[in-house]
Amino acid sequence: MPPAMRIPTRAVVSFCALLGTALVVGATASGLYDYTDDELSGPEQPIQFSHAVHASKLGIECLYCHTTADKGQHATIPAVSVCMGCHQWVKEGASPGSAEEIAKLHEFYQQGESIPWLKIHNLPEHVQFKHFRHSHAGVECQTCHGPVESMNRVWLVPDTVLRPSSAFLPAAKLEMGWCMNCHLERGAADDCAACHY
Amino acid sequence: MAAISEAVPQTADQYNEDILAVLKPPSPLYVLAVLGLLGLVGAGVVALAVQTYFGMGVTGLMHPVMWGVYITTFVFWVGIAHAGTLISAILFLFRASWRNAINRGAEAMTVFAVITAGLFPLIHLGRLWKFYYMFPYPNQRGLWTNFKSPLEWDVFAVGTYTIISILFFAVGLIPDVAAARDRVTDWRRHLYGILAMGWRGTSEQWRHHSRAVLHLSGLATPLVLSVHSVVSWDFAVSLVPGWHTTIFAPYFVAGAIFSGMAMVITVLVPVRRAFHLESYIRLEHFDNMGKFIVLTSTIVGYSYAVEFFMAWYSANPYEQMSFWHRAFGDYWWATWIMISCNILVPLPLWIKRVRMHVPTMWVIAIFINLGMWFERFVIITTGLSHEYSPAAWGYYTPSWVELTILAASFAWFLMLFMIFLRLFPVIAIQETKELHYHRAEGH
Amino acid sequence: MPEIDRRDFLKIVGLSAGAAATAACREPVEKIVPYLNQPEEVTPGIASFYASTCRECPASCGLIVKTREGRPIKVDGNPADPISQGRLCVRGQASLLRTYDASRLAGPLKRAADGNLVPTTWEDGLSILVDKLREHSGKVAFLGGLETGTLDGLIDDLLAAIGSPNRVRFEPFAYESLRKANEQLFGTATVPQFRFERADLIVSFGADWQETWLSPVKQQIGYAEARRGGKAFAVYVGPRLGLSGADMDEWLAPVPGTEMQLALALLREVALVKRADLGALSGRLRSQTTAGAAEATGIPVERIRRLARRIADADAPLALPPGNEMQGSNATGLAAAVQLLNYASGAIGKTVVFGPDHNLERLGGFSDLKNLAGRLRSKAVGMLLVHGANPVYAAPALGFAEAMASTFTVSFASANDETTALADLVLPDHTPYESWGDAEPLRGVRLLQQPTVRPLRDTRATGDVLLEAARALGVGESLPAGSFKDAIAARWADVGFDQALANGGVFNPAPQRSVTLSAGAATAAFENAKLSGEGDLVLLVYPSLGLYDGRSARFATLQEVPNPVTKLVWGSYAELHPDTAARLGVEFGDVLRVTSEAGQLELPVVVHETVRPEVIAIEAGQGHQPVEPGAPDPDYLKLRSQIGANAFTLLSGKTDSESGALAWLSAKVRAEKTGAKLLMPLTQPTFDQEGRGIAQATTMAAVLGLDAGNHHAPAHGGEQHEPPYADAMHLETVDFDPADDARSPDYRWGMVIDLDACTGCNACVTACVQENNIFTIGEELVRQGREMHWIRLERYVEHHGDEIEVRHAPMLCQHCGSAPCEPVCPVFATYHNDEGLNVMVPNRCIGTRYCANNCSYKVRRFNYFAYDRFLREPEQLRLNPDVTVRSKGVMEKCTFCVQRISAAKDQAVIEGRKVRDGEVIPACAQTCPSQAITFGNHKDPASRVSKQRADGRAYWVFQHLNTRPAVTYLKSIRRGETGKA
Repeated sequence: MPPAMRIPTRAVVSFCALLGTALVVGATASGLYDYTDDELSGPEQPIQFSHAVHASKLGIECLYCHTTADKGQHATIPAVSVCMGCHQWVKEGASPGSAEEIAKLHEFYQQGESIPWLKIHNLPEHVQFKHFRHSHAGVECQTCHGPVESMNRVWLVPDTVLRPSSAFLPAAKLEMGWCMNCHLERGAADDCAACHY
Repeated sequence: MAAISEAVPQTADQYNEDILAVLKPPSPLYVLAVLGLLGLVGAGVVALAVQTYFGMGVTGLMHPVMWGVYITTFVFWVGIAHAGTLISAILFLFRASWRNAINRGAEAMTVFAVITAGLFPLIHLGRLWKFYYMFPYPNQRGLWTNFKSPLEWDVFAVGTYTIISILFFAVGLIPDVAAARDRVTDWRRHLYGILAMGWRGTSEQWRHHSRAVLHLSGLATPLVLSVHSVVSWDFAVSLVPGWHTTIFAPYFVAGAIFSGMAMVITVLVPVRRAFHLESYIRLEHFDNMGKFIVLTSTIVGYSYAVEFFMAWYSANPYEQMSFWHRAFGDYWWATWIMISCNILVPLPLWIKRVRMHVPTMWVIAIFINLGMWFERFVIITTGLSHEYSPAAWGYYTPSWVELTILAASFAWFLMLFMIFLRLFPVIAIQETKELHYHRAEGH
Repeated sequence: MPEIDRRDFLKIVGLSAGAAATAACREPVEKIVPYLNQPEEVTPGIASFYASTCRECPASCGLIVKTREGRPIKVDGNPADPISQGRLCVRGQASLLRTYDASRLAGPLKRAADGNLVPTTWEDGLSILVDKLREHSGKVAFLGGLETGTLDGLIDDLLAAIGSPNRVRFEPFAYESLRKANEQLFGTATVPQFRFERADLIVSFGADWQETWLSPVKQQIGYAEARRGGKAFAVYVGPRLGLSGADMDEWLAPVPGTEMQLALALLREVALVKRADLGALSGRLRSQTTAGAAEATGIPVERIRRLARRIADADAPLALPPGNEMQGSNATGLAAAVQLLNYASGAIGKTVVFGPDHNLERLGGFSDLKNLAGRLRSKAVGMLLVHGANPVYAAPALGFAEAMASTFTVSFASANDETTALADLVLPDHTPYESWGDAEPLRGVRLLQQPTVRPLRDTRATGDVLLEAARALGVGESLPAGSFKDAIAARWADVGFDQALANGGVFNPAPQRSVTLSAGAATAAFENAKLSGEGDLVLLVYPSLGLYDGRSARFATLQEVPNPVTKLVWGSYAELHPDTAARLGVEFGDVLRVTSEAGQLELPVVVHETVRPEVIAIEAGQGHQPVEPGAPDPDYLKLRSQIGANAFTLLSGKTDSESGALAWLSAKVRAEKTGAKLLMPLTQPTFDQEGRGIAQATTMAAVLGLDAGNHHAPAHGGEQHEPPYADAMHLETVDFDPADDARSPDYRWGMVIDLDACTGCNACVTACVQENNIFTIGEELVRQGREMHWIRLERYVEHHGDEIEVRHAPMLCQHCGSAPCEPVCPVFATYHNDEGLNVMVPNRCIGTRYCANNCSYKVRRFNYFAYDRFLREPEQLRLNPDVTVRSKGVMEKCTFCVQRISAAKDQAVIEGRKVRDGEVIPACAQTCPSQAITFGNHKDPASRVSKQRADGRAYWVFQHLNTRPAVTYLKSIRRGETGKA
């Protein structure tokens, strides 16, 4: 067969290969596989604070520390003074290494500087999320935050929903599609202005 | 044909000789020209980068004129893109054989023009990096696009047009690139090889090919009307005095063909000269294109008249004020450039001798291009600058960024066209051959 | 466009290269840092409110300060306060900027050997202060503004303790002539209250009662109350129709200087009708014939007579004594004449009440400043302490700059100004929102001022500084113990400090007292104002609505609020009558050289028919020297290094012979064309509404239903009707019910704006800017037409023969039921929500700008640049966290304060009920002193908006476009046969 016939086959093959790579790269970039191992175990925090110990073992209510979760826009991280409320006496816990961690807390407090926690559950600034509206609607903390009470390190529990309205494209936790999924299921507001203004 | 007293090639091979002559290595002058154009395009890219980094503020846009040079240029290039399809498809269907000499050039022009046009809706976005919001792609947010919005219609109209015109161009090219493939030896051989899709000129392939061309022509024909109608609705469906009128669709289509023809002449005349194609792009072609221009110019002129008449006749004070402002307000100069270039300048074309005089045709064509750009500028700018609320009237002057990008768009178009010239036969060999044989039979 | 430096360029190159790559980047890890010690009453995400006091002008309105996470983000009037009554003016709304001012002084400065002001420590600064006080004890003078609280007493005590009782309380607007006149007539040198709300006829002799004069907010509230429903006819007398005049029904413009004759003629006629006993005065009035007055003033006899008749017939007339702009060489006489008019017409005790007086009697004036300057020159004063005054700027005629040169001067200003720049020691005070304080603007109305934010700079409360100094000097025992705050607490102990703090103060106004005409009245001198200087134009310097005497000129926001008359921003301009402009051969934008005895200025011309032909009017308050660190620094917002020109420099310092007040209206000036022409930052190109019925008016007759022809068909009548007012376009309109435009069964938000109440005072514009994080973009961008204000306060001038009628219409997003902007957006960034709001989602917007093109009202604003980059530390602290800061390339517009709607709904949902009427109040409606704006729910037939919408005066702008706007306008009412509607 004439040379003309062979060239396109090669071209076609290489084109397909190119397309394939482009798709993979694109999919990765678009954040479909967003979770690294490190995140699954939760990033290292300035102090190794264990919700498992405080919430489960000691059975402290969420609202005891996150006081405004049912009152205000933010759930708020407790002030260092709140931690010190107990820990000025509690200098060592049951779990190994707790003494060092509590010592860190004391150090922070004596230094008069606050604790630079890493933010795990992060929403963009153009989202006006109101915590108390959700707690008032009876949404469990765990629905969005996962089983925090069993975590030694808080991490964003990967959760993806597939909705018909989004052509069954995976919406990862705290992405808009994920919020919308719940809103639609519960018949909550589906108005853009409910969260964006 | 009597009037045409030019040497007609006698043998079929001479066609290949003459036409494929373009495939000889380029002259330094040509290379220089292409590099110059590339430089201008580069300037445009920098201007766009500046605009993207700092924001639309670097343009001259303001309240209330939120659209300016960009949308003007978009409509202009979409318009240009029409002549190609018209010549290739419609004239093909009407068996207007004279088209064969110019259709290749016109089709190429169409492709490049529509590619250029397609850039501007993106360039004019406040957040260029979010352009993909305009496409109805499935996304996790479950958000969709607004199919009520004329801008959304544009996405599809222009998109479709791009695909069809490229297809049309590529298919028409097949036999010729095959011919070219067999005479070059360097890297171009591969390119032609791919584009020729294994063309060997069997009668089988010929049959399929002519069928394909026929069907594509059928597909393309309605687009000539639809695309620019849709573009015109960007304005017609809005509430802006001077935009909100039913005449826009036919008016824009006529204008598109008008400007398209003019652009064909503007581009082909130098090519004809440079490649000594006088015996292929012959005076009869200019004569016919001249007739087209006279026709469309008249339609456009009529549309202008009707617009003003309706403004007066509607007794709608907003409309009246807007058109008074158009003719005698801040933008009177633009309006009168538009009217003189699009109506007065083409008048001599009623005379055959003018239509047959290439240099004159060329000059007239250039003026028409100018005039048609200003037509869109006038419609957009004067409409917006004098709307309902007198407290929000304003005067818009383009900034250097906009003008650079405008210039770059022309450079980009010409650059693509020049590269095309060196790469492909600017005249459809096979079809011209047909023409030759038909003529031979005619003798 | 912004300059590109090398770094930007590299960024651009990088950007053009890697634009695609960045799209896929992961978000950076954010830190979340809690409080160290949880402060009580501060909860992140929940606003807390504090009562305080506005210190932008002596009116001292009560405030409610909204703070989030410990920083004030919005102020509004304190409803409990009898002065502000929950409302604020344009300056009050912007007052937070004084605290978040990027070019504030960072800390104490001292004059170094090389003559420059250099930073120093407080210890050093205080020791210098103490040494100097010791050195100059007995020769110390304290120049301050009006203080009516604890600080006032403290200063007196200190000066007494160091044996140098030289105290000058200086305000550029000191009402000396009025006080003097009252002393002559009634034997009490006080400023009475002018109770607008009781009046049925208001005649202002050049008093800008809603701009700067006395207590603008209180007066505007009273004015609106008096005028509601078409009552209270108002007449303005003066050479220029300013903001206050523009809303009044009739304009009498006497030849400048002859106002006296008009006043006397009116007095004579009214006295005759009312048989008022003017004692010896009546004799002197005989010569004051109306014909003579008409002759001199150029006002037709019958118009003077008509006005006199109006005054005589009125139950509760009110004549306002001259404001600063009409304060001439005869100021006291004119004030006396006007007060006599009040006396003759029986207004005294009815609409002009003594007690509770404005607390101004201790206020000094121009004359005191004058002898202070003299004593500085004669070295009688060796040391000068300046607090809350800027004489170098405000009284150029007195040559303070050189007078101070040889004196050791200490400035307590919190930000740099002309006087501070010349000081030898600068000990910056806190700003009002950072410090304790109190004020007593009206006798018995005492307000407390409390800190709402930790001081942002290294400043100290002047009260504390003085106390410390006193103790260091060993005279502390004669002063209150503890800190300045303790001093205040002590002073308030009797009325219960904590309770007062919660309420914002104690409000038991002093009782009204009756006054009688004293014999001294006979001696009042009545002559015309003397105008000196060669030249054929009369110079009219008028106080600025936005900048007061110039003390607010450093607020970029206020610089960008359009002048209510010229609609220009960022500068000062010479206003000329068209005839005068024609005579001088100048037009809009041409630069004039204005020369007076005292000085020369070059100003661009503004031409409008609301000034008298022989007058050239210039706004005061601009033209501050660019001093570093100083008011708005040049590269900030790409400003000219100096904004406008200081009109005070044209005043030669002539005074009113009797009260010693500065004679503002005393100069004749020469004006010639320079040939230069400027592009003007104009926010409204034309004042002619082309008969498009944007700002409509109706007649009293129509309102009362007497004149069926003009009467508007009921809003829900459903039938089509001719546009009710002649100047509305004769295009077919269809009635509609906004309630149909919302899918929600509960809510359809809507607004009603009463144009009869609206005076165009700009308070709503400023409130909107503060509430919604609207950025100030600078002169250059305004000139290019990129203004960002969500409310465009449109001003239109109508002509009825030679009569001029000014109308105002606040134009904001109409939240149309069928909005032109919605269908054209390709990405649903703007859409109609279930509650009828036209929602704008900034983060979905891609910036096609089609919506703005298709908006018939032109109320959409586009972010041409990343304006948040224009913010300078610490300005970002004032941003409202409840409103998203828009990025570059997106559209924005009025949201009906959706964040407030949302908050109200939160409350309602939690309490399991619907939002009540009046629960949602947008920022504009909340602050409007005229209460022209009502917001509410059209689905609730009982709501105020539903009721008002059915009013006969209701109309919709561009109704023929069938956009079904949710904003209903109520036509302004033309009272009487001539003048303003």
